[in-house]
Amino acid sequence: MTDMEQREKRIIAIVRNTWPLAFLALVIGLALALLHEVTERRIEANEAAQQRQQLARLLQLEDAALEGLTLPDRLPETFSLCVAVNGAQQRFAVGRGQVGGYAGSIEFITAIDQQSELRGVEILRHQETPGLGDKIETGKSDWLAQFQGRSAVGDAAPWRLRDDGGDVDGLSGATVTARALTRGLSDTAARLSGTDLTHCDFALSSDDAAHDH
Amino acid sequence: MTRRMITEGMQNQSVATHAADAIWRRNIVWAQLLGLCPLLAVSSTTVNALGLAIASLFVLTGANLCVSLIGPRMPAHLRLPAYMLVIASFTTAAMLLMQAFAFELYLRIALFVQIIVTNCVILARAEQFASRSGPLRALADGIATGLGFGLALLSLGMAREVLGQGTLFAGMELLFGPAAAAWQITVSADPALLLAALPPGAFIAAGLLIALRNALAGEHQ
Repeated sequence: MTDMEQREKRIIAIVRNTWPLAFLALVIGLALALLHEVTERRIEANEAAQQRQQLARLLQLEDAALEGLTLPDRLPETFSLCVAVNGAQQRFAVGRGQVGGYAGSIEFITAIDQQSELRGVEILRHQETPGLGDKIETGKSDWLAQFQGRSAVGDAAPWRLRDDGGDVDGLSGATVTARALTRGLSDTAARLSGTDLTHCDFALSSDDAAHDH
Repeated sequence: MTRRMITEGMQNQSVATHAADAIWRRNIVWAQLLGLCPLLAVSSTTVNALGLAIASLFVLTGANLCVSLIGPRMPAHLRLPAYMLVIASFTTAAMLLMQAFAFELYLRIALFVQIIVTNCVILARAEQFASRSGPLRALADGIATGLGFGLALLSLGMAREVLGQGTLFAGMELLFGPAAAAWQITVSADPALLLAALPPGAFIAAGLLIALRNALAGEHQ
């Protein structure tokens, strides 16, 4: 038998040995694509609603306060948002931040008000240890609340953990997470304090909100 | 022989007996001690436990049925990758469905829904039982095993929520819509035993529940 024939035989053997798996993968792939097609719009709507609610929580507003605000799928890295709260217009600089945590990067979104004081923080994505590092999530502990009202430009900036000579409480069992996020928040807040708040990238007046109800 | 019976179930049992066994006597968690990682991690509240229980039930049932249908047609050396493919696909489907219909709950337990794919319970049932059984039996086995897993998750979740948070059925609206927010029962304003909500509490509570089940099933040797 020549080399050529041997190689051909081997290729035929490989195909014969794997085609059932390839066929199964094709069938399953098609089924999943179909399911994706069916659920896609619902998932997108959920994500948009989640995004508005998250922004409302971030700005310490009611859950439905931003109903009617249209935001792009992917928010810009930094933007100014003008919202009428009880008749008075308030302006916020909102921005995403990212910092390397204990296990991969922690992504968050934060906002400061016109006085450069931190208004709120929401964690978008993280892979910190469940039960320890995941206490950075607002739903799991109120660790993040201590950052509210901290000035991004005051004497206490940049913010540091108590262990490092600052006045931010750590997280027991997750010091690496707490230290990283404190630094990330401090940097992002400082960056946001340079945002131009004289114009609004996105705006929602209370009249708009009232129309939607 | 006993070991074989316990892990695989007898092929000549009636479907109903087999299913009842899978829920109680051969309970995947309390009798076989499988699937403990997601069990301990997610069972801090009832709603988390129920969410994972439903997702696991879905994957177990779907994978069992598919594996049974594929059956002997798949060459022996391709079976393991084929089963993994099936299980991974059902896990993906469970993720998509949860994102569409229980989005906020999904965000809370996303990681543990994703790792259903590595839950040894599912591959064990596919390999040991579904691949050698008819579709009906495999389906019943999947449902029963899933219910058994759900029973374990729920009992642990409820015990830990009551002890650790002082509530029962908190956050059910994440799964059943806004009306379910009223289901919450507040047992005590301040939690009796915070430890129960933390990881060590999961191990201790699981140990106590295993002991309780063994006592009830009369399996103390």
